[in-house]
Amino acid sequence: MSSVQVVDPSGSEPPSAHVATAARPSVLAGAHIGALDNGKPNADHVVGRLARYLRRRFDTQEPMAAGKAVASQPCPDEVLVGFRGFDAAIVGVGD
Amino acid sequence: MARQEGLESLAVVTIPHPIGGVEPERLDDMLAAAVDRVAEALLTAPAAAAAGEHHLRVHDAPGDVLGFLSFAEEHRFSDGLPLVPPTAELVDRAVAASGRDGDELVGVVTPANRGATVRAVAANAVMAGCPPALLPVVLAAVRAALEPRFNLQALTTTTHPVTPLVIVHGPVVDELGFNPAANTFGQGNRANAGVGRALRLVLQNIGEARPGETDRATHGGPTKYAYCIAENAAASPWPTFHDDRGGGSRGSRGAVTVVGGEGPHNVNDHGSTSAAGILRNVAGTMATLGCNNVYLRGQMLLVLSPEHAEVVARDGHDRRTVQQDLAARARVDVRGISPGNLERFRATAPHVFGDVPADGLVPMVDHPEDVLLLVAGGPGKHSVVVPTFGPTVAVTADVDAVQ
Repeated sequence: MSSVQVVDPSGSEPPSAHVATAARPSVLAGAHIGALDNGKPNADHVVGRLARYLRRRFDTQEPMAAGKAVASQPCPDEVLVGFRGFDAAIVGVGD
Repeated sequence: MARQEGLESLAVVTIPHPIGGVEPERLDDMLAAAVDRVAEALLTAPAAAAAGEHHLRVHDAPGDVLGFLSFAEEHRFSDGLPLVPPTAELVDRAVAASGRDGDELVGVVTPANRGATVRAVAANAVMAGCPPALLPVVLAAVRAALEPRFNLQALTTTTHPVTPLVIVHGPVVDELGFNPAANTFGQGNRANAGVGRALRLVLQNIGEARPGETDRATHGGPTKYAYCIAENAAASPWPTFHDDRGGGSRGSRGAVTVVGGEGPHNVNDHGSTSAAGILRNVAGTMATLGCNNVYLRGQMLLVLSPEHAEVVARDGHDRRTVQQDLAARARVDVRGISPGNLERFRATAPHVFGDVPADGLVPMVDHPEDVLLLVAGGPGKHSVVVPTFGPTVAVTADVDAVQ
């Protein structure tokens, strides 16, 4: 069978930079856990309830909740600043 | 997708769909069952991803038609329709017709964040069936779609049936043979079909917007094969959309405007003989409860047919007064909104829904200029409304002169 050389249509490789993130906490007891609602329906309930379950079962600190109105737009800076110093966060939901 | 964004340490816990559209308490058992997995995810970073797939710059592909189509499907280059093999000769001719360097980076395409070089865009344009002369228009459409305010990341990954609608305007419409008249949204013209399809292939092949994976559209739509129209400037009773958008400001050959739109919604109006009648009907079509604009706001596009535009202009309207009329007239009745949706709308758009009475009316757009107005199409008493994704802004980019 004859062959033909074709140009790859998938473009150049993505930038290799990776986002630096905080190390995972070693234990959950006493950890500060953020609960970030991304604006999807029931996201506030999902992340809020999970954070409360974590407090009850693993003795995390009282969770802090925050959210944004529209999932398809970035979180306002002032919301993210509020999570500074936290050990980890739950963000939800994808649908 | 998080890994594509360089966020490799994100852990994902999956619980069964649906999450939205149910009473929240119905989720509680599921959430209780997931809490151990959430705890584990908070304590343990996922293993580093394997090195990404290496993409060759050229491939040896079968030379026969069916063999090539199978090859394209296996390599995930296909949109399901037949493709022209992007041979080096055809791609080189397209790049040469653009006057650009093939290695020039047009931008980075989400969600994969791969680089859209002129050569890669040309390869997709060739596959879409574009003759070389169309590449500058495709490049303009890609540049416009990559402007951050267009919000391409959200458009390509949402469940909503949205895709960039490419509107071609200015001298390039006639120069390159776009169809601005009868059936402008439809089949039968190589320029409209080629440019629309080329942009879609760029999103799929460079951005890796793949159905059911990173492209999460619930249904998608036929517009996701190709979605490109042109302004019928000769039939516009007002200064053109091209003038209004500031296209050609650098002495270019024309411009494209991308609109993050749903499919076209028809406005059948054979009965009205006045502007008031036609605009009332347009407003009624805009005021559709199921579209994103109700609560996510943003722009809506009106494509008036030449015959409707002639009547509207004859009764004294200009572009601005049409926008003002529709911004005031296109309203939805709150009584038609379900309680669950109304609660969500109030949270999302409190400036519109916050204080509205239970039997009130709310406007579809926040400002008159949120109604984008264009004359296109051929003879007939139909116009078209294109609702948008909402959090997206139409972007215009010049079609560069060949250097």
